[in-house]
Amino acid sequence: MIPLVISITFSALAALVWGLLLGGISRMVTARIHGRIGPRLTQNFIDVWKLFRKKSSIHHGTMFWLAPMFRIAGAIGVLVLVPLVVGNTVIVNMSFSGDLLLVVYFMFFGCLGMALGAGDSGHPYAVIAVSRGLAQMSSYELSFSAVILVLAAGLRTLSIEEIVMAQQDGILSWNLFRYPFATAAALITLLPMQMAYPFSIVLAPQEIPIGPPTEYSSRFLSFMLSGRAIFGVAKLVLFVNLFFGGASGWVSLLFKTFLLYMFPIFVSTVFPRFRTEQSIRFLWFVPTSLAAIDLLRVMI
Amino acid sequence: MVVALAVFLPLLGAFISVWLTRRKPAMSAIVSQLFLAGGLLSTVLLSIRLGAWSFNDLGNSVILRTGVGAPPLSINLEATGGAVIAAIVVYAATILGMSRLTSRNAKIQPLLLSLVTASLGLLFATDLFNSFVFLEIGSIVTIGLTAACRCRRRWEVAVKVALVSGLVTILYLLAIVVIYKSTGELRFEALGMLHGFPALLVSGLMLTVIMTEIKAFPLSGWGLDFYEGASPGFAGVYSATWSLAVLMWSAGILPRLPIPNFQILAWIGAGGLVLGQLAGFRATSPGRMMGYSSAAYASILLVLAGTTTGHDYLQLTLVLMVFAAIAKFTVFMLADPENENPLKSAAGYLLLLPILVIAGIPPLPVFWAKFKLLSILAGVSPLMLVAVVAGLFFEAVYLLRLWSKRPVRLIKSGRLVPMMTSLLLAAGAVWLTAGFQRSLSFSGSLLSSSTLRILFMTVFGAGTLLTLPGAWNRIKGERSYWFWMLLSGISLTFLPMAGNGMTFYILWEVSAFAAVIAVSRGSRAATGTFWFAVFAAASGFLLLASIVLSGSMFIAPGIPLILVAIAALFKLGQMGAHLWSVRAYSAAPATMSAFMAGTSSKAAVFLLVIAALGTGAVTMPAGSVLAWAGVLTALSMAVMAALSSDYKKVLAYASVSQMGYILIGLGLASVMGWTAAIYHTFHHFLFKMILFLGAAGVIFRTGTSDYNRLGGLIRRMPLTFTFTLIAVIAFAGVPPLAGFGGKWFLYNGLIETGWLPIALIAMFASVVAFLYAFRLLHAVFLGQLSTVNARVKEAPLALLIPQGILTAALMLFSFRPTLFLEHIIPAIESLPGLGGVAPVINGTIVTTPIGNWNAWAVGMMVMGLFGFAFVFYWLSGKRPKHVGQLDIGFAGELPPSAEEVHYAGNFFKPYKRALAFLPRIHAGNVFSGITEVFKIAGDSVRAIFTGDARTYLAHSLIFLVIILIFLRGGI
Amino acid sequence: MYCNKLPDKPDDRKKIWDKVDNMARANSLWVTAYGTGCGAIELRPLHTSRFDMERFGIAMRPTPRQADVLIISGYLAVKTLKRVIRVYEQIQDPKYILALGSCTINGGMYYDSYNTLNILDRYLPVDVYVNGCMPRPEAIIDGFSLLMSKIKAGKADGWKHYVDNLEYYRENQKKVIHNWDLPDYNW
Repeated sequence: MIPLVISITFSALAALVWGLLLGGISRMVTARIHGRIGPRLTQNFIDVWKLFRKKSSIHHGTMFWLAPMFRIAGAIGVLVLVPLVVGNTVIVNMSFSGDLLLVVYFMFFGCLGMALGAGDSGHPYAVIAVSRGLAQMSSYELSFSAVILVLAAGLRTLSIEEIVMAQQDGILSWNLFRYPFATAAALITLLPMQMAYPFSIVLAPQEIPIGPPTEYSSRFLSFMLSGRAIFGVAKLVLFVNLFFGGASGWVSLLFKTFLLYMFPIFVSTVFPRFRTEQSIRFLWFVPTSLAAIDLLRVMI
Repeated sequence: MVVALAVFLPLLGAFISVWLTRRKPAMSAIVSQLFLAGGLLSTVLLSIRLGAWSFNDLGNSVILRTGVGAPPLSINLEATGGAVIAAIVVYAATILGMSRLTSRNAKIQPLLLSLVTASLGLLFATDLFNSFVFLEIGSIVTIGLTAACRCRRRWEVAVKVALVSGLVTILYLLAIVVIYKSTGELRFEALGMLHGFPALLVSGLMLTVIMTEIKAFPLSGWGLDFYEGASPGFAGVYSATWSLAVLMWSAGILPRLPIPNFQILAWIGAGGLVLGQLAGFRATSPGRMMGYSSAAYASILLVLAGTTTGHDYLQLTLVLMVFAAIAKFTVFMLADPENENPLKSAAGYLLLLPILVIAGIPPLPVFWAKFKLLSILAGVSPLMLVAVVAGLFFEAVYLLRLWSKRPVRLIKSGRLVPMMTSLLLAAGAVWLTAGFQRSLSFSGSLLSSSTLRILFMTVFGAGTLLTLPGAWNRIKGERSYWFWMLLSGISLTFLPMAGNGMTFYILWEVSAFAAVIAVSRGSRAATGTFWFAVFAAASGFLLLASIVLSGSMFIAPGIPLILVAIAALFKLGQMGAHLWSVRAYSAAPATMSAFMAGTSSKAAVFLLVIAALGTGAVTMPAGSVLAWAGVLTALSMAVMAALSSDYKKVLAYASVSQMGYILIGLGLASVMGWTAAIYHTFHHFLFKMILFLGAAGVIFRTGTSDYNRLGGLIRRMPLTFTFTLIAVIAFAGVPPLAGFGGKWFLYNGLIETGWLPIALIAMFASVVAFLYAFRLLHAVFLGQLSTVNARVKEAPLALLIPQGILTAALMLFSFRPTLFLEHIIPAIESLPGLGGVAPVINGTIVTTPIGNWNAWAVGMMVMGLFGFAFVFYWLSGKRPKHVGQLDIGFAGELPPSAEEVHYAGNFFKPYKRALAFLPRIHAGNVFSGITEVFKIAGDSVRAIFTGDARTYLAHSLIFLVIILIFLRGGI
Repeated sequence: MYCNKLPDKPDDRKKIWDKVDNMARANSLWVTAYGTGCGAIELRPLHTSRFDMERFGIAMRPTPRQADVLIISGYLAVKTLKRVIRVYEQIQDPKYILALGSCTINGGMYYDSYNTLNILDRYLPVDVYVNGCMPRPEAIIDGFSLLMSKIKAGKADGWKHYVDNLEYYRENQKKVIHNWDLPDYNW
C-alpha cells in the first residue's frame, strides 16, 4: 500500500513537472514560429505558482469547487492506470487494474467534472463552451472507438501492458507500422483531445471568455492548469504505449512524449479554428474512414 | 311450472300494465317491476334446480308443454342450463334499465315486458315455428320501442328495423315451408333430417336469416345504424335482452344446419371479423362503436359454430355472449341521453371495465373463453387464427380510443346501474377465475435458473415498493393511481414464477393494463394513454397468438418465436415503437413513469430470456438482427434525447436507448453477452429509477418539467442533485461507478464474437449519452436559479428515501461488482446453449480472455485521490468566498435576470446543424402512414354501409344468392 | 443574488516565502483584456513579434476573474468608470492598476470635459502611471518594468489601500456616477 502511494505520488509529480515544462516548451516553440522570442521555459510553473498564491478566491457553489478535484482525480487516475515504463517493476502504479476500455472511459471522469463546474459557475458562456466541447468530443470518440476496436481485435487483447508487449520486436512491430491508418486516425483525434487548433472550439479564447474555466480564479485555476498538464502527459503516455512501442526507459519515455507533443503544437500554430459543426463533420468522416480501412482489414 | 312462470309472468304483466298506465301511472312502474322480479325469481330457482352454475352440464333441461297436441300447434319450451343463465341476464337488464326508459314515457312498459317474454321464449324454444312467433313479437316490439324515444333519428331507425325484419320474416317462412314439405315436422331436429336440394336451400336461407338477425358482417349495416340512432337506454336494454336471446337461439340452430363442411361458417366468421373491425376504425359515435363490437361478437359466434362442438361449444358460447351483453349494457347505461355525443360525460372505471371485458383482457371473464377458442383455432388453421387475432386487435384499438379520449366528468344521476352491472362483471371474473384456476401454474419452470428468477423478482418487487410511497405526492390534475401501480407491480413480481403460457399471459396482460390505467390518471393524459394502450394490446395479442400457436411448450421455435420477439420489441420501444414509450412517460404521473421505466420494461427482457431458452437451446431468432435493432435504437434515441427539452421525455428516450444495449447483449447469445444484458438490466433498474424519482421530486415541487423553466435547483434541492448526479455518472458508464461494467462486458462480448461494426456504433452511442446526461444535469440543477423557483423546498421524504436506498445499492455494486457477478455468472453459465467463454472472477478482479477489470482498486484509487485533493484544499490557505449568483464576469455589466442568463434551450444547435444533411425520418410519420393505410382499407370496406335501408336488404339477398352458389358448388 | 459585504481583510504578515511569491507575481502578470479608452490601440502591438510582451510572462486574459492587472488605457469616461469598478472588484487579490496616458494623471487633453475623470487616483488606486499621449509600446513596457520591480519590492499594494479606504473611493465614485445602480459591493 505505502509503496503504491509513493509511486503514485512520484508519477503524479513527475507528470506535473514534465507537463508544465512541455507547456513552456510549446509556448516557446510557438513564439519562435511567430518570429517572437517567447516566454521562459519555466513560465508555466511561475503561472501556476502565482495563481496558487493569490490572496483571495471565490466560488459559486459546491459543484464549482468540487470540479477541480474531479479534474485532478481524473488526470492522475488516467496516468496511474497506464503503464509508464515497460518492464519497470518499481513504478507499477495500477496498470493491472484495468484495461484500455477502462482508461478510455475514465478519461471522461475529469471532463465531466469540469463540465459540471462550468455549469455551476452560472456563466452562460462556460456552458456554451461545454456544449460545444461535448458535441466535438462525441464526434472524435467515434473514430477513437474504431481505433480501439482495431487494436483490440487485431492484437486479441485489451490490456495495455500486452499491447505494449506486442510491439517489442523492433521498430517495425510498432502499431504505427502495423496499423498505419488507425494510427493516423488516432493522431488526428489527438488534436481535439489536446484542444489544439483547428479543434479548439472549447476554449476559444476570443469568442467566449476562455470556455469552461471562465469563472475560475486563483487556486482553482491553478488546480485546473496542473490537471491539464498531468492529463496531457497521461494522454501522451497512453498514445506512446498504444502506437509507438511503449517506453523502454525513462529517457525514451520523455523523448517519445516530447516528439508526440510537438505534433499538435505544430499543427495548431498554422491552422485557424473550425466552427463546431465543421469540426463535427470533419471528425465524423475523415478519421473514421481512415480507421475503418484498418477495421476492415482486421475483420477479414 | 317454474318455466311457465319464468316465461309468461312478464306477458301477464304486460297486459296488466297496459291498463295500469292509463289509470294509475304511478303504480304501473312498481307493478311492472314486481312482475319482473317474480319472473327473475322463478328463473333463478330454475337455474338452481338445473345445476347450471357449475358450468359442467349445460345440457340439462326441463321441458314444459303447453297447449294440446304437439307443436307447432302448441308451444313447447325447453329450458337448458345455459339458456337459463342467459334468461337471468335478460331479466336483470330489464329490471335495471326499466326505470330509465320509462321515466319519460310510461306507456312503453307493456312493450318492454313483452320484449322480455319474447326473449325468453326464443331462448327456450324447441320448434322452428314457435321460434318464429317469438321472433316476430320481438321484432315488432323492437320497432315500437325504437320509435318511442325522443331521439332525432328514431323514425329512420325504426323503418330500417322494420324493413329488415320484414325480409327476415319472408326468408324464414320460406325456409319453414321447405322444411315442413320435406320432413313433415318443425322441431329443431327436423333440420338434421334434410337431404339434397331442400337441405341446400334451407341452409342458405337459415344462414342468411341468422346472419342478418345477429348482425354479422357483412350483413351488419342495419345493426350499426340501429345502435347509433336508437336512444342509448333502449340500445343498452336491447343488447342485453333481445340481442342476447337471438344470439343464443342462433347458437342453438347453427350446429344443426345441414351444411356439408362447418368450416365454411368459421371462415365467414373470421373474414367478417377482420373486415368488419377494420371498417370500425373511423367510428366516433359510441353507439356505432358498440354496433361494430356486436358485429364482432356475432362473427365470433360463427367461428365458434364452425370449429367447436359439444360441451366446449355450449360453454364458450354462453360465457362470451353473456358477459359481452352485460358489458355492452353497462357502456350504454353510462350515456347521457340529453347529449348529442352521449359518452362525453362518462366516468372512468365504469367505462373501462366493460371495455376491457369486451376486448377480452384477463382476468375478466371473456378472456378465458377467448383463450380456449384461440387454442382450438390454433389446431384448426393458423391462418384463421391470425385473422381472428387481427380482428380482435382492431376491435381493441377503437374501443381503447373510445375510453382513453373521453373527458372525465361524471354525470350526476345514473351511476347506480352501471356500478351494479360492473359488480356483476367483476363477480363473473372472480367466479370464472376460480373455476379455471386449475389450469394456472406458478411453478417457475419457464426459467431453469432460480438465481435469475430471484433476480427478476427482486427487481420487480423492489421497484414496486420503492415507487409506492411516491404515489401519494400528486400534482394538480392527477388522480389517485397507487392501486393500479401496486396491482401492476404485484402481477409483475409473480411473473417469473409463471409455469405455463396461460399464467404468463394473464400476469403480463394484467400488469400491462393496470399500468395503462395508472398512466391515464395523469393530467392531460389522453393521447399518451391511447398510444400506450394500443401498443400494450398489440404486444399482448402477439404474445397470445404465439402462446396459442406453440401448443404445449412455452414458445415453439419458428413463427411463434418471431412473434414473441416482435412483441418484446414493441414493449421495449425499439425501432420506431419508442413513440408510445415517450408519450406514455410524458403523460403519466411522474412516479408512475419511474415504476414503468424500472420494472415494466424489464418484463420484456424477461420474456425474451425465457423465449430464447424455451426449446432447451438458446434460439435467438437471428441474433444479429436483434443486435442491429438494439444498437440503431440506442444511437437514434440518444440523439433524440440530446435534442429534447423536456425532463421526462429525455428520460424516456434514455430508457429506450439503454434497452437497446440490453438487446445487443441478448442477441449475442454468448455467456459474455448475456452477462452484459443481465448486469445492465439490474443496474439500469437502479439508476433509471433514481433518475425518475428525482424527476418526480423536481416536477412535484416546481410544477414543470420544461428545461427552459428550471435551473439552479442544486441550491434548493441538494440531495436530489446528489442522487441524480451519481445516477447520471453511473449510466454514462464512467468508472468507477456501476454502469461501466455493463458496457465493458458488452464490448468484450462483441469483440469476442467479432461484431465490430455493432461495437463501433454502440461505443459511439454511449458517448452521445454524455450529451443528454450533461444537459439534464445542467439545465435542471446547475446554472442560474430563477426567481420563480427561488423558494422551492427539497423533494418530499417519500421520494428521497427510495432514492437514497437505490443510491446506496448503486454505490455498493459499483465498488464491489463481484458481489453481484459471482452469483450471476454461474447462473448464466448453467443456462443451456450459450456459447463463448465465461468471465472469470478472482477476488475483486474480473478477467475475460482479452481484458481485466478491478473495480475495487479503481474505486479505492478515486476515493484516495479525492481524499488527497480535499486535504490539499484544506491546507492551501484562506477559504474561498461564496459569491452571489449573479456575480459573474459579465463584461462589467450586471446580468439582467437569472432567467436570461441560464442556458438550457437549443443546447446542441451545432449538432443539429451538423446532422442537417440526413433526411428527416420521423417515426411518427411512419406510424401515421401505417394508420392511414388501415383507415383507407377500413373506409373501402365501410363503403358498403350506405345508410340506405334498401342497400341492407340487397346485402341480405346478395348474400343468400352467394351462399347458395357456394354450397351448391360443394366445398 | 449579489455580494453584500466587504472582502475579508488580507493577511498582512510577512512570511519567508513572500520573496518567491512576489517574484512569481511579477513574472507572470495577467492583464484583463479590456480596452477602456484610446490607449488600447497601443496595447495591441505588444502581442506582436516586434515588442513581444510574452517574454515577460505578460498575457491577456478574457475575464477579470483570471487576471491580475487592469490597464486603464487613456481617458476614463464616467460611463466606463461604472463598468471598470465592477471589473476591478471582480479581480482577485493581489491586483494592480496600470494607468496609461496623461488623462489619467491630470485630465490631459480632456481636462474640461463633462464626461471624463481628471485624477484617476481619486476613484481607483493606481500603482503605476505611464504618461504620454498615448504612450508608445516601449513606454508601456517600461511601465510594466516599473510595476514588476514594485511588486518584487513588495510595495504594490493599491488593492489593500482600496479595501481599507473604500468609503473614500465610493464617495468619489458616486459623486460622478449619478445613476448608481450597482450593488454596493461587487466582489
